[in-house]
Amino acid sequence: MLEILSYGFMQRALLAGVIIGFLCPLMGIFIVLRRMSLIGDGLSHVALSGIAAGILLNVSPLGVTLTFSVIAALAIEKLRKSYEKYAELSISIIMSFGIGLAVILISLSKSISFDLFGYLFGNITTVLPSDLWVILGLGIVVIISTWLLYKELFYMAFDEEAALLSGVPVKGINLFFIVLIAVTITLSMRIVGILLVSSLMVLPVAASLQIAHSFKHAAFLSIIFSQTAVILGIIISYYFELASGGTIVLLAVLILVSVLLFKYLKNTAKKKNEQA
Amino acid sequence: MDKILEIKNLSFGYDNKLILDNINFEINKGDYIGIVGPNGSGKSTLLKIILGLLKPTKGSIELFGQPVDSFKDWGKIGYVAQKAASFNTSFPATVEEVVAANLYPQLGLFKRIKKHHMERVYEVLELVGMKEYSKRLIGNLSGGQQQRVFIARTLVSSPQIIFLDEPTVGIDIQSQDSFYELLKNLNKNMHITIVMISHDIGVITEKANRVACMGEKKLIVHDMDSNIPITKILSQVYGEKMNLLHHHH
Repeated sequence: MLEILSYGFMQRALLAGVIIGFLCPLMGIFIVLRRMSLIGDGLSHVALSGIAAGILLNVSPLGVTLTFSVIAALAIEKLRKSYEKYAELSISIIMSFGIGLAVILISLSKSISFDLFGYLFGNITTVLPSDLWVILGLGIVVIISTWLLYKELFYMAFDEEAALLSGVPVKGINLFFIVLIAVTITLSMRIVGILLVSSLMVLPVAASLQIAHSFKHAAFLSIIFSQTAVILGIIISYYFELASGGTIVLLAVLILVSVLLFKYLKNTAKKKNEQA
Repeated sequence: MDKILEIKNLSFGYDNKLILDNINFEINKGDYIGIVGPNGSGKSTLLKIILGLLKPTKGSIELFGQPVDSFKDWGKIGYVAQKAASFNTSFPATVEEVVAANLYPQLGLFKRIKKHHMERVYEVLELVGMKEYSKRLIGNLSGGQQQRVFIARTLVSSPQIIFLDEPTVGIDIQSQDSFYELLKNLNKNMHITIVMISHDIGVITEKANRVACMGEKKLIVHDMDSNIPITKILSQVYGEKMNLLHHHH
């Protein structure tokens, strides 16, 4: 067991995994409760074009992707105002643009490299020491920002109109929050992969909502579920040589199914007790 | 008397359709005002303009002597919406989490809610008779209990005026009675000004000291102490064939 910790790349993968396992459900709980679950998918498709651009220009994909996804996040917010009654349309527009651009950039680079594959589905061997510092630094910024804005984000998720009326700067926080989501997606792509990052934002939250007895409890459970999936997923993917993103997401699905089953059995037992 | 709200020559409309035409209206401290009127007469629109959620086409609104555009002291103002329209009942929030959210006007941006702030939360929950439910999920309560929690949420910021938009829709009659009793208590004993939009004209004419009737884009304000019978005003708004029945639950 300790053998895997002796490799530098595994240490980096696990450390990055722990940060991502914290960030994704933390963003996810606000995303899910505000019914914005699609935003992760929209932004990650733009991130894909960022990666393709990075590979094509032979520069660090992390920086380019971060820039691309933050611009896309701001564009979604802007478009949302033009389509007030169709909030999800703004995400679809940006997602289409992201895929279109990514396909063009990938075709320009002539050969689809192995590197791109790793970004799509997650590859634990690809976390470079420089990546780890960026993940650590920006990850802490996202966590502290969410901690400081916790009561505002909670109020806006529960009742945006009431939050606005009590003086919460709803517009500014919305904009800042969507940038935080873009940053989280970019940081997660090495470990879970672009195509699966949104699942790690949504699945642990979906499981926690089934059994949580307060908002704080839901946030806590989401993080526990997500950490379990990420750490176990990285270890399993190492031993069985599987794509880390897929392993992590399947574990998250397994946790969700177990929670649903647990709840079902608990309710059945309760009904039986009541009848007896 | 202290003026809390003053509306002068207010008009509002969109797509060339006039909804409110030259409205003048004042609310004084300690008032209990009912706003009645047929569906679509612009009652909720008027409330949204007062709260700064919609901009008027013409006229001015002052809250506590300040124009609504530059008004900052939102903790002084409470708002309780129609239950059904305002929240997701499967949201995993406890009663105390919901009430504590409105500590925002006192705390401001970035400040965390600490233990001593929670004392105020329990105090207002006690006041509305919901303290024993503080750890329960809001979605598991009855409609009447939820509305009490929303009253507590506005009370936590010590408001001087509370606006309510048809707060008893979908709530059983017994809970409605105790809800009105709570509002009366807030008005009489805590001197909180109450402004309530309602379809229940019987209740409004019984509880309020002034009744504002919306209709034909105008607002007619009636003082319940005056000698003119309210039915005269109401028939102008609802049409001639209107009888007022008082019913006690």
